[in-house]
Amino acid sequence: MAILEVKDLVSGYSEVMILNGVSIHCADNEIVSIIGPNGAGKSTLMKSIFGLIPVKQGSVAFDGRSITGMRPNQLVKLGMSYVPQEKNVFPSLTVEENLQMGAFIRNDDLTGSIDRVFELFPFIADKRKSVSGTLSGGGRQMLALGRALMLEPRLLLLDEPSAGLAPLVRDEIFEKVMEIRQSGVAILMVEQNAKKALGMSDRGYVLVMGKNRYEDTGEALLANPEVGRLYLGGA
Amino acid sequence: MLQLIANGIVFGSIIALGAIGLTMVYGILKFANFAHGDTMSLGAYLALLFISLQMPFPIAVVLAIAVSIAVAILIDHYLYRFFRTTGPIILLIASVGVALFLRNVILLFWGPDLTYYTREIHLAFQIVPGIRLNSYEIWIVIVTAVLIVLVHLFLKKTRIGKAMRASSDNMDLAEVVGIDTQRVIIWTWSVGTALAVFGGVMLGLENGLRPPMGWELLLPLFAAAILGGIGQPYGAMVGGLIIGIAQEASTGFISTAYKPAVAFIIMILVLLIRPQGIFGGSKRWI
Amino acid sequence: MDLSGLFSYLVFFLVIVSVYGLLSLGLNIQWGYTKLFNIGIAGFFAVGAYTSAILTTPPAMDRVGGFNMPFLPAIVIAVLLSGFIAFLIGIPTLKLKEDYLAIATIGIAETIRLFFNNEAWLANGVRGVSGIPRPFQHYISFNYNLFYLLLMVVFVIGVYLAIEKALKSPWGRVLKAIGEDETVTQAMGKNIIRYKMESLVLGSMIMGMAGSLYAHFIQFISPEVFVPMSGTFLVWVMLIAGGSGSNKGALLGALVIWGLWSLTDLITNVVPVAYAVKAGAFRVIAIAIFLEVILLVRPQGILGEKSVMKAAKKQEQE
Repeated sequence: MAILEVKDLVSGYSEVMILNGVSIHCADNEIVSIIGPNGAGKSTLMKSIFGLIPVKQGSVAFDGRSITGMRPNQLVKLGMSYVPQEKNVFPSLTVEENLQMGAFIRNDDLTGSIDRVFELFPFIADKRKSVSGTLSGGGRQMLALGRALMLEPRLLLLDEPSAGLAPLVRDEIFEKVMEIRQSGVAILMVEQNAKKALGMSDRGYVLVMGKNRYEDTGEALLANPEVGRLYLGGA
Repeated sequence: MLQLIANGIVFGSIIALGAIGLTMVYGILKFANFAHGDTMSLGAYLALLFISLQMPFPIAVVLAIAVSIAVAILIDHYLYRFFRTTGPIILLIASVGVALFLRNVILLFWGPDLTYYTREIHLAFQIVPGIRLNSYEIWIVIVTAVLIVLVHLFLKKTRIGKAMRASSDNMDLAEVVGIDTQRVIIWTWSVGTALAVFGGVMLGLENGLRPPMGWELLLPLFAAAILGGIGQPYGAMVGGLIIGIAQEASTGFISTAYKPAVAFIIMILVLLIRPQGIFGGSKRWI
Repeated sequence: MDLSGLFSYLVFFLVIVSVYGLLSLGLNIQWGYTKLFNIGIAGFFAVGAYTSAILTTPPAMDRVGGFNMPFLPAIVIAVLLSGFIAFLIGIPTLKLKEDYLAIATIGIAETIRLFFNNEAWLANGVRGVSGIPRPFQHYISFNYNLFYLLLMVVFVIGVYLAIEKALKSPWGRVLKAIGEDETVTQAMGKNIIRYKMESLVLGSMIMGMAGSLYAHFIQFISPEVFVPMSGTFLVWVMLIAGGSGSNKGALLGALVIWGLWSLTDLITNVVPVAYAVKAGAFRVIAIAIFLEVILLVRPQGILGEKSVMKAAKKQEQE
């Protein structure tokens, strides 16, 4: 059974619908990428799944259970986590405090979870007491990812994890994403860097103008000449 | 001059307590609460009410805080909540309405005349050469210092305190991360109002109570918050002291009637030279 | 009350409505169109009133005076001075985001009030300026108040027509665009600060005019007249209730709200004098509640357009 099932989703902002009937699914421990041109609705899809944008029509199910329209703090409790594209850390809080906020709903001792995150991201482990606004772009992104892992989610939603990062840092982030998948987490990823994303994905979707266009395995989409011509031009 | 500075510290403590609440609400709820001064008045008068019901002073203050917090939360729930997505100006206008409401309710029940908590005269005595303060004033400074330490510990060490700081940074992200933003909002009103009530009671002890007492403080409160960096509680603490001292020190040179103008001028200077204030607050200017 | 008493009351009532009407029209330019939040209305009103008073009164012992100017030049100077003060205020504050502007304007209103309160040499401080002459007093043999009402109506209609024309022009459309979405308008290459300044100054000049006309009618002004909140707050309620963005709304709001306010006055007048202050408090409470209800139920006012709120909502989402 798919861990995430999205059917015929229509959503957007008051008058303007950005998604016009999108369906995707993601299985346990899969990496699924969503690619497509700007304005296709990739970010909107993420936000709709995570309850940040109201859904007009269609359904979203997590682990077989309907979650359409549920608010983020409910979804976090169910085992989903979301990393926004930008402004994804609390700049005036320290690294450690950011992680603690990731586990806000828990009342117990967080040391174990924090240590696990620092194992995965040793770069920020050194900076645990630093105010996170002072971190580099790469550091902040790692922190954002680490924060999302604090509750050991089963599904991770990533909105353009490599955006605005230098090439070396980007590669490091993608490596970390693979590592995260190793630990058993399913990952749904929106990426501008389509080639790289598909290269590491089990499956992928191409969205155009708020609708599904292509769906296949990562390899197949990479090899597809149409997809390559239209959407894999950049990076 | 030393005396003026001492007076300034006393007065600055009162302003600081009010400014912290004001800046928290601004940082987390994103609006300039024009009713905050009158919240201080409300607290002061409620304490007066409970004292007249024969409660001992500390109990009266605690009860005043409890009732004021309840009032603040009710107003947020039945009024401000609906405007959260509409924009800061509507909230501002609504809060002006609330300010007028509170002030005139006080006027309605207590009348316009100056009243005092107690008829006792407290003599000023000399602490160090050049400075005379009475026991109220010393208490004001001490209690403020204690409260500030408590607020600091609250924000730094408690989970909800960190969540409040996080929400002040980025409310949307707080929502995404799973922070219970409803609880954060309630705590924001609670802490801010509690501090305001303390400030109001102290103002009443220092100057007596009159219905416009809090409203008249609004300009210095905003000046302190902006000076410290709007949204920054520590900034409000520092800003409050600076404004208090500046206002009192100014009476050495110009008429005391212009004290509020001093706060205003400082505020304008901050807005012109360094709008984000000392601690770098919300960058909401063009 | 007999018929002539009622008539007198009505005339007086409508004169005040006209004064508030002008204030609302001025605020409409600033807030209704350009979304400039001006809490300092009372300040500009004061400048207009005091300027007119000082310029037209005969010499007085303890304050500046003795210019003995006739009415029209005095009001022109009053209007220009209000505009100039607005200009000075605008320089540091117009760059600020809306709520900062609000805080700044309240400080200015307070400072102006303190100034007039304290600088007795200029305007007699708390005791105020009295004996302000009424324009054309000598020429009018019939009911002077009625004449003044007609004078006010002329002013109001004149200002209304002028503003309508200005706001429907390309200039006005830019103001509206700034109010709806400032960043987009700036991206279109418009000099936002200049338009905002013009809006601020024009609105404030009309407020100064209102102050001047008021002073000549009542023949006495003092700082207490401008205790900032009741007057300023009423104008805001008038504009919001009538419909921000609409000049007709501004005037309608002035009529309706001043009517309500006067109604509460009549109601509380039955109360014994000892309770006068408390009755006054009750009236303000009533108007405050009224405002909150309007904001909750019909924020666009009677004649306003819903788009004002929609635009704000959209801005939030971005």
